[in-house]
Amino acid sequence: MKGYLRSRMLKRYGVPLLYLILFLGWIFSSQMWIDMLSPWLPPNVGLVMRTPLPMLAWQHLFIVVISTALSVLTALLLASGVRLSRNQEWKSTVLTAGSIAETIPSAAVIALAVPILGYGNGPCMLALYLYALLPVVRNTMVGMDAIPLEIADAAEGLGMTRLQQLMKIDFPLAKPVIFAGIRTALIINVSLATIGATVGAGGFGVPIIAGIRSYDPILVLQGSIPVLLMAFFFDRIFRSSSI
Amino acid sequence: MIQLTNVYKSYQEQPALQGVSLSVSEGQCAVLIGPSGCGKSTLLKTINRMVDIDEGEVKVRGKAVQEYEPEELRRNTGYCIQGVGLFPHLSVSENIAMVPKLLKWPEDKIIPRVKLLMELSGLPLSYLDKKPHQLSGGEAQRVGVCRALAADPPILLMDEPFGSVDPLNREKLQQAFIALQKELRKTVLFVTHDVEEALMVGDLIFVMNQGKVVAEGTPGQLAGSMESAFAKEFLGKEYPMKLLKRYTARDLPMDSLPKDGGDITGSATEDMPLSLKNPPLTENSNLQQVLSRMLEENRTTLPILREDDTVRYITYGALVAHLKEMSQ
Repeated sequence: MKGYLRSRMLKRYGVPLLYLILFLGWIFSSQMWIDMLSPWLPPNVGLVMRTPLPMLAWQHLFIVVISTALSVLTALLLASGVRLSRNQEWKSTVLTAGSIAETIPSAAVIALAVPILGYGNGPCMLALYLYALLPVVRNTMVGMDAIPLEIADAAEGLGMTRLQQLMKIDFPLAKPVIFAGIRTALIINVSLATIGATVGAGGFGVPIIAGIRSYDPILVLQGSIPVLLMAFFFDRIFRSSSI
Repeated sequence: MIQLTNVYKSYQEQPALQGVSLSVSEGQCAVLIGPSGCGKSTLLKTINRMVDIDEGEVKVRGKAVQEYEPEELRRNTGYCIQGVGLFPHLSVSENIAMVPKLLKWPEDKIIPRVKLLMELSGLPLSYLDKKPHQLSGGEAQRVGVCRALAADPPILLMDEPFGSVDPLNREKLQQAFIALQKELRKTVLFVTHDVEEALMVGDLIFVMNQGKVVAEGTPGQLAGSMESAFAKEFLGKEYPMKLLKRYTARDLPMDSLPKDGGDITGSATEDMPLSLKNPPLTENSNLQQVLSRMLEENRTTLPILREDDTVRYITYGALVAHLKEMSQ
């Protein structure tokens, strides 16, 4: 039993912890390794970044977490509203609107948003906000629709108000599916946030875009490896909390 | 207690109820029986406003259901359905305590109530913290009944509550329900499509077909003349045979001496020697068992062992007379 518990704890927290350590290790020490390797590198490679990696990590996290959190909040409210209304038409309208929004290329959203929101984090966060909506809305609706009819029937028949049904039955039972949606949204956004650098947003996109422009693979790697680790980390965290 | 007058309901031009009138008085267990799609479940749901009617009137405790808040009405009406619908993320005790919690009972009142109901329905208290997926089908049904009864509602609506259980457990559940009902005397509306179940639990039976009540009466009365050809066919030719199960030997007049021939020691009857092949039946045996024994032993008089260890005799004639009396 003890061994079983330990292996479960390890699975639950060990792997995300490993990703976290690798991530922190990278952002704090990669510059040092690159400096040490610089005598053997071609002269135009391994440029020194203007913004240190820990700062970029903070910017990236800020952009992703704030926009995704707002998006999840909106999505949950939207799905709850549709569920409370018991209106099939609203449901299909919301799902269709979400699907259409998802087909607009993210680069287009960012480009269109620049004249309104200006240069910087704004357009990027708007794009992330929009892209996270659909997975969460859809998963919330699907998860709640999958609740067996007799359970919904019993909840109504026992005299719960619709709000009580939503809070006491619908959300707890749909929770794993909702978490899967949040996970998807978060992972999409961690990687999507990198293109924000084209319109002046911060984050790991800065070294990646700079590296592409100056043909510097080391710079690209410096930005993309922590993006990868961050995505892995969120994937694991939301997987274990949904079990 | 429950009164429906000329109730109509249709779903998108599809009629579900076409002028149903019925009334159930306090403490009665009324059974709605009929084939699938006859409107019996819809009728049940009109009583707790899960279905709103188009025309007519549904009265609960003398007040039209529309005058109640739907939630208030439902919290004061026990509701128990096929497939139970226990909440899988809540424990047995949390499931049972749901309605008292909605009614904001104090915590120290809820726990004893939950325990009492579990005892009444024959569930061990060790099940309090189990999750629904750890229960067998029969146990889940019992929890479902407990949940419906939790806030002590005067009215209980049951929609094929034992429909998804195997026959052996179903009979156990029916017996448990009958015992419970004897104790609690709720006004029950019980939906089923099983004639034998209807006969076991019902004080009053309403046979429904195509959104109408086509026959009604006590189980005994339905054995008598019935106008509806459908009801006759639905209840079946063996209906009187099934009806026998409802009554026990105790309901029959008993004689201290055998009438038409033979005593227990083995003197001859008109048609066969009286030998005691089997131990005598008790007063609690149902009349189906009594008749079977008569057929098995080929005799018209049977000894019955009473609780005070005396032996009395019942005759085939008394059995027939009893059925006839009940059908009046």
